[in-house]
Amino acid sequence: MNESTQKVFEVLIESNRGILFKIVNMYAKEAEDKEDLAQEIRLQLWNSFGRYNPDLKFSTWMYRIGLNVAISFFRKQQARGNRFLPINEEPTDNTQNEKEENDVKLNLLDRFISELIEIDMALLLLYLDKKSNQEIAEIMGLTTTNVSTKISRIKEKLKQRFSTYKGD
Amino acid sequence: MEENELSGLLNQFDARLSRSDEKIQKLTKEINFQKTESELNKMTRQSIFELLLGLLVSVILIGLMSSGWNEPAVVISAGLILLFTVAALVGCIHQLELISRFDISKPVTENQKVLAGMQTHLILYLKIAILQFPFFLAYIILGFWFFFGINIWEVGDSTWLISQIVLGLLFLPLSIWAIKTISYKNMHIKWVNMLISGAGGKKLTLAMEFLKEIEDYEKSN
Repeated sequence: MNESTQKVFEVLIESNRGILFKIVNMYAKEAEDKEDLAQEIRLQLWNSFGRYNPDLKFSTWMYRIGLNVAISFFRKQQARGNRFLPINEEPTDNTQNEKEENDVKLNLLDRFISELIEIDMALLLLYLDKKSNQEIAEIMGLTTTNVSTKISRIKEKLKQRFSTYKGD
Repeated sequence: MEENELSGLLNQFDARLSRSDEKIQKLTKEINFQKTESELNKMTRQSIFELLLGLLVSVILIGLMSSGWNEPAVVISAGLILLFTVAALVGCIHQLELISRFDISKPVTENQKVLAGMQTHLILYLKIAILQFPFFLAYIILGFWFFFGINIWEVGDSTWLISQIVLGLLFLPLSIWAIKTISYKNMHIKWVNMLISGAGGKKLTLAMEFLKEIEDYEKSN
């Protein structure tokens, strides 16, 4: 690829780098894993850029590649037995103040999300990024109805997990 | 937990996901080609190795067929094993074709299904091995021919030979049933799970389970 293509690529990646951070933080928790995953995504984006179809929104294309790489990466880690378990997972006790209680809940949420299946994690990530159901469906390869049903189920699952959590 | 509280927490979680450190920021601006080896590259290397191995076995079998040209039992035995080897080679070429056509920018569920399918490629060899089981006599005939230059079919005790053929025939329906049962859809069956895990380890088992998971995912609505 020539220099001008490379520049266009750099600009597009830079303006969408938030996508990369989100994917990396969702699927990798250790610093070294984050670095490896960021590298792998960046490389795949670069390798596929020559085949980028401008009919597709750049963010959709980037999400597809990023999530495909991240899910494979996550599964590789899983096969090695490195499934993520977040820190500070103790249940709250009545003496903690509101801020601490919120942090504990946030850590628990982090843990419960990491317990979801890889594809649900991707779906949640896109939902949190406020993508429309149409765009989520395009990225994931699902129907729009399927997307909204699955998002409701994920939220329900998380709520249920909070209510049944007893410090397991 | 109330809907509002979960929404609040999810928003905070989203903010946490958006965080980045300097190292990651730097990495998004450069590529270290040395460090990264994609799963596809590994699969390509493995398939090429399997292809070469298959070709080598084919050459040996053709050699055995020509050396025993006047011995029908040897030719038929080598031909039978060659047939299975060719089936494995076709599977291997198909795998290489899938890898070369793979487009990572396709939708997530579609691609993950293809990838998991490619990772379960080893199952083909397991199935071929099981399907060959009823024809074990072919290996005995070839073994005697290869190592001792003896055509056991000609000189062997006829009662023993007939008993081997009957035993092989008895194994045939069992083999067919087994290869039909070995599928990601039957990972819940203990022996299927054990066989797959024995053939390809945890990685293969996880890929098979993932295939099932994606299929269920697409079906459920």
